[in-house]
Amino acid sequence: MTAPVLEVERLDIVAPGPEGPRRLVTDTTLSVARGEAVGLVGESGSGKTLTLRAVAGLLPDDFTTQGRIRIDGQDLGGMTATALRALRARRIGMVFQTPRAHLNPLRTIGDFMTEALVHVAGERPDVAATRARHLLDEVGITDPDRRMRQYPAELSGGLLQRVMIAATLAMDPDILLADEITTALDVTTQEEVMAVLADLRAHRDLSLLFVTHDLALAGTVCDRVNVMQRGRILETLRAGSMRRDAREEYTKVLMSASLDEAPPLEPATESPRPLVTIEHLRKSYQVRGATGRRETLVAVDDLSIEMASGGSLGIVGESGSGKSTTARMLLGLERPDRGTITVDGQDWSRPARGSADRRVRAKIAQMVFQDPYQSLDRRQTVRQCLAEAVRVHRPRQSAEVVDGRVRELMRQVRLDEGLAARRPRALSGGQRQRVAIARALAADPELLVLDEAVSALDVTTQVEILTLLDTIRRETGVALLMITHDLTVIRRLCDEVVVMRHGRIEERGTAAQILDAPTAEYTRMLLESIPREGWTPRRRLGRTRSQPTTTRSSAMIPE
Amino acid sequence: MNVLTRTVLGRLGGMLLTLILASMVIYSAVLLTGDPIAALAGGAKPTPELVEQIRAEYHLDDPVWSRYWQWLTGAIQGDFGRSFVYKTPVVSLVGPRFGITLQLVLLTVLLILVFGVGSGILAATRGRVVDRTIAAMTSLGMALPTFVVAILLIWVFAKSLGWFPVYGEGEGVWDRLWHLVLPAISLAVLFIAYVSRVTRGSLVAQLHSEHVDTARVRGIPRRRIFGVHVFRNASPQILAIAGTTIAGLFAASAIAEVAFGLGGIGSLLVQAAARADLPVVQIVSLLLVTIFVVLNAVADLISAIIDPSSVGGGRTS
Repeated sequence: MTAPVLEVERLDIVAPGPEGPRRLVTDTTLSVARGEAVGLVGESGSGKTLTLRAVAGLLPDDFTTQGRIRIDGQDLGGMTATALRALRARRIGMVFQTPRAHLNPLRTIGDFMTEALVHVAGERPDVAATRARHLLDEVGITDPDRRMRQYPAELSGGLLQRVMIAATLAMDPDILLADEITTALDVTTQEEVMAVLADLRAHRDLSLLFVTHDLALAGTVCDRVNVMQRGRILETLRAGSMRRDAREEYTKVLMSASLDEAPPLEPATESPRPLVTIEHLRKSYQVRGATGRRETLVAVDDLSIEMASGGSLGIVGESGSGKSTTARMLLGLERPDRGTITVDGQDWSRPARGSADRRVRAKIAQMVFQDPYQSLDRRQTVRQCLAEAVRVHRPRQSAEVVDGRVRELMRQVRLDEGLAARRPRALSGGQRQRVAIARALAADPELLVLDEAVSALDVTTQVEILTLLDTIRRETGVALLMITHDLTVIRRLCDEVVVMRHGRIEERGTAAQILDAPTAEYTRMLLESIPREGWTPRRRLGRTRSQPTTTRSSAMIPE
Repeated sequence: MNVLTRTVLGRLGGMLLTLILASMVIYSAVLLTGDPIAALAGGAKPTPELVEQIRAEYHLDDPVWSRYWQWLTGAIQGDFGRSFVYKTPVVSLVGPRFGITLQLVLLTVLLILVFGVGSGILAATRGRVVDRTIAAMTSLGMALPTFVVAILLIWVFAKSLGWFPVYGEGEGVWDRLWHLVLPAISLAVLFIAYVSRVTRGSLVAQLHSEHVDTARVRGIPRRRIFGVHVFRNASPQILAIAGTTIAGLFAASAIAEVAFGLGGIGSLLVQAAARADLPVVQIVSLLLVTIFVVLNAVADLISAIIDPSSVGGGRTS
């Protein structure tokens, strides 16, 4: 057997901190053989990304490391800065989580593709350009000539991720370091990118170190999987038999946290009274097309939804499906072109006018956002945040009553009372989202709109929050409207599901129908794209063209 | 029509509108200063005949809008009227003085760009000690008003050491430059501090940006990373602040001109305002506004060329 492409031996990573140095990665040992794919799986804060960055030489300057890292048998510790840069440039390729942030927005794709070839390998620009076109073709990008002239802002996330992969291949690396490369992508796009990677590995003798929080995904992509927690590798498993071999409790938790394991929900007892009725809703935007001319983009088209009081409905779709636009119209953040929205017997077809009207609506419907860190004021303690929310709706209550209500809310979301004096920075992601949910519940609303409310959380935390939401729904009778791109989330939370695509409803039904016996082709494709045991990613050419996204794009000009 | 042309046309339209509005405001300042006849008659109590003569000569009996129109069309054709005080055409007063101000501003711009951008780059790239030192110096620079710097410079370098002249414009190229050094430094200090801070800030933001990580992993040489990925991406912000700063220098130069006895348009404006020489005040003000607006537009256009996505509200394909 030849020497491993990458060896990490007893690696420690220490970060300086105000209360003395903190050890973030402890005694980590792993290796990747030539042509092998190795997974590094853990939740946020487990040190998996740090380990990867240590290999790539991207740790912050004030971090210190101990132990050895060897690439192709060469110890990085004993090398000069120049030799190190050359080794990394030629032997390692790294692909990151958010391709849009990791490409210089002011340089064309062509510049990006050829930069390393021209400035590191010293190729002539035209030779480099020809090679770049071949590489783009290799990762399945059609019309490479046009793509080379475009800027990153003109390409979809999935395409950009392929550009990243293609660009790293330019130097013919031995190993690809992949850091959560599909986390920011839709499931179907994730499948595309994984299929591209699988193809490349088959045709080239390429090793892969694959960092992800998704054990199921790592299991399908890799030969071996390292499970990491709190800076340590707990165990290393063969991917094929990891279910049988797993010894550590944590690994088992991660496995069962894979959300597709749970049976679909039993429908809760529903009252027949409709809470939300949406009829023939339509919203379109004027966008500037590729030719510079204005085009009409229909974000939501003839959408009708009914939701019972105390019910739980999931709206599922990929980016650009119109699911978020629907939620924004429901809450009066966007004005529909036509159609009616009735909530609790009131006409909500137009955004609220005046603060009194807004308050009335806020008492009925509340929203929980994707990123709890951004939606909470970082200077407010948990108590201040909740007290403020309580006072909005009960302005003249005494301090004791407000305080009692804050405690009640914290109990409702299972937050320890000892956390009341903490600020968001001192809370974990799951705790933050609990605060955000408690804040939404302060108004005693009839409806909670959850916009991707668990997508930013770790898998184990996702399960906690989803279970909590379900409990709250059963305790208080609040209706839940979940907007998500993730079908597996639906399983734990929703009785009914609407699948959206291109602004229209593809399919609707109970969670059990949609998840276990889908009729629409598109729903089947969404379900098949979810990584699971024995899953092989497939390329589905034809849906690779970039499509305009409706989510918070600056290109949108309301009609 | 592509995005850039549309931006250029849009900016030109906005510029014209700003200038027209500014000219109205400047012209209507006449109405607020009371009776121009007293100023024109030169202090002595005017005889009725003289009043009549002045009224006819300066069209003072016409309605305001008609006088404004005459003034504007005249100004566009290069006829800026006559100074009330010197009785000579305003052009011959402003022309040579503008030359001095322009030289002073150019020298100051050079200082600002070299030391402002330079110290910003050092602060962003040369470690904590350099960063702290430059931060302290820029704080001091921002706290020092131009006239204080001027007085300090005169006292130290002109009076005590005698290295530089205290007063006047000098003759010939080198002597002129010699005379302009201290005024330019006194003007530049504040703006060097500003530009340095902004440069440092936008460079640090780019240095920590993720696309720079990508370039590092790919082994792109340091120099190229700094030039192509860091400095170039930071330059629109630097340009925006430098553009307003430089445009503002033409007005700010008045302080240095007065302090160092330079006969530029700044000191002309100060004198003219003191003597209620309205045609001069109007034209110099209009000139300053025009320069400000034009230079800002130029800075915006350069930014647009560097970063096409900053205009036209992004793109989708």
